[in-house]
Amino acid sequence: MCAKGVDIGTCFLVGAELKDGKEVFTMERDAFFSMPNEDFAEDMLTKAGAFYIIKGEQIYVVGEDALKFSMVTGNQKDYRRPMAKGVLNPGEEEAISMMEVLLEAVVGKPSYPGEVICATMPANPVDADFDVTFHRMVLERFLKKLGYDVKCINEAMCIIYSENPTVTINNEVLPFTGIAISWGAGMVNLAASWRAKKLLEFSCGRSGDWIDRQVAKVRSVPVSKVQSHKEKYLNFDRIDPTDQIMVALEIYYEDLIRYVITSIGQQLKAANATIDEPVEIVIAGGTSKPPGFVDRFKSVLRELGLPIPVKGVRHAKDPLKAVAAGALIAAISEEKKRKANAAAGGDAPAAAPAAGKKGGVPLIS
Amino acid sequence: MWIVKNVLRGSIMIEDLKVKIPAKDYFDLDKIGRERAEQSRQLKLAMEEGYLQNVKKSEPGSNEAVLVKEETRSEIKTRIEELRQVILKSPDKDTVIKALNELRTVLAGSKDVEQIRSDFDDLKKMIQTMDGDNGWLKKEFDKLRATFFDKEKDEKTLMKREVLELRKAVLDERQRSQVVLTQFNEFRDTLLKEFKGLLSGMIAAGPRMSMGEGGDSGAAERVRLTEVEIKARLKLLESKENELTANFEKIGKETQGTGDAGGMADLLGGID
Repeated sequence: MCAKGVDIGTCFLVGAELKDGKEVFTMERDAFFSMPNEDFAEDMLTKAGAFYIIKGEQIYVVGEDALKFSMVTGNQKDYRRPMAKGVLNPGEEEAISMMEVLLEAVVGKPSYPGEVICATMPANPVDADFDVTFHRMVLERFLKKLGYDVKCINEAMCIIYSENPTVTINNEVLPFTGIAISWGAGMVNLAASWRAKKLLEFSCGRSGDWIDRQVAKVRSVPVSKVQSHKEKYLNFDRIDPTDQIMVALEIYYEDLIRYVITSIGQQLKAANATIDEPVEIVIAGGTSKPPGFVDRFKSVLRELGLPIPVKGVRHAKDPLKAVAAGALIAAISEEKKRKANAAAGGDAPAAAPAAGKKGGVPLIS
Repeated sequence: MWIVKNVLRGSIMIEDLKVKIPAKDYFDLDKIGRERAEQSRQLKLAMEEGYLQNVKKSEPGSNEAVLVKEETRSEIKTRIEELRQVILKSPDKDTVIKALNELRTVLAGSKDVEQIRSDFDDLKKMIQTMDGDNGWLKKEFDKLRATFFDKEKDEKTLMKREVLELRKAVLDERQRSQVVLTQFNEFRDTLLKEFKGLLSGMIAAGPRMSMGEGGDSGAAERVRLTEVEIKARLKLLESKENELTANFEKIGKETQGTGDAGGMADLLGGID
């Protein structure tokens, strides 16, 4: 079965496909480092085994190598990212061209023209003055140009597909029913689903990058140092009270969790949600990776509460790849529907799974 | 700017300047000071013995980097244009080879071209030995494969796929004439991307001369078609000059997951 998924994240690009029946993920840092194309720069990079792009008088080292070069040279200014706050970085002039090169290098070309690819997109933010239309159009057009049949899919719904939270009503298990929260670098995305039907989606324009900036500001240290500290040492079960960066990280993490849970409550209320059965919340994304994060989330959730019953909170099996895995599942499902339709002599298949009639009444009135 | 090249297969250490130049590498002696370099006895000896080759020595204080770059670029462009004209107007083998030799002379000091000189020589020999038989093509691609495949993360790994596809096409007797031509043109495009257009004329001339010597009745017509195609492709290539050039085709760390994507997709698809 040929079909692919890709998680287009602010910090990482994660491609997913099936090879010999096994899920295979390709992960690359979504970043580049610019330097002038001087006499020996290209040779130096080639010898270092770095991946790079030449454009006019500039060389752009891309992916993980970009971070390495930034660290080695101590040059933060030229470490650049094509994405910010979950969408193409509006302040980065090379954002589109770099993103296109990285995206093609991660997902490759389609195995045949019209191969289905599901690309993840954020929901519109509830707290920022921008929408995701431009971002979606640019990336959708590019993937189409490569020869794919592109389906854009909410990134939190992908977690629903890969983690399959369930609700049991009258001994009947309803699959793909629950709430998923994707804690990315640029945004937090949320989706509520009922039997794979998206009931509610939104995003908050602050997440991991926001935490790093706040901590850097209050502790007067570079953002990169905060990031490195966070990735290496942050553990909510063992916060060292003498480590001022750790203490600040803990404070802002908790603030972010409170902010997100409050937003979920507001959005559910605004949607007049009437969900009677306790649902499960699944958490994924790089910002949720530090040990103890889920327990901290549960603790704040107990304190603030939600307007719907919650039966549990759990972490995705692989928080960094859950979104890409879900995109792959959606793509395979779409591809299978097509084949079935073609075999039955029908037209194009339905684009998304329909809402279920089984297992209850509509949840949002 | 005073660029010298170590022509040896080993590193040269110039003790009195504390400079080490790796094998086949270049070094700007002005970086350590023109006066100091000129006074070095070991450097002088190395130059006299031919271990080091003078690539470019300009007057101190001039804006050499820009001037040299522009001068070389301009001359290369002129030569390439001349070569293109020669190929478009006259597919004669000797004329093409003469033009190629002139181009090589101009590029002799260029570092980029240095890396592909041996390939350049091989391709030149290929043209000289053309006899209408496509057997030479297989040999050439075997050589290219050995050259480009063994270098991990080499900037030319892009060619890997192209060479394989082409080789397959060459060996496929049933589709030989048309597929070889098509694939050959694609291969030429890849080379052109890598070598910034320098080999365009020569590669384009290859199949044309081969067909001419084959002497079949449709050859004249195909030559005309190929000329039109060459012009179109050259225009396309010129328009691509300012585009991005990447030294990779795939990127990213690959890991295997433990999930059951196929099963989950069935479950998802089964929801009515």
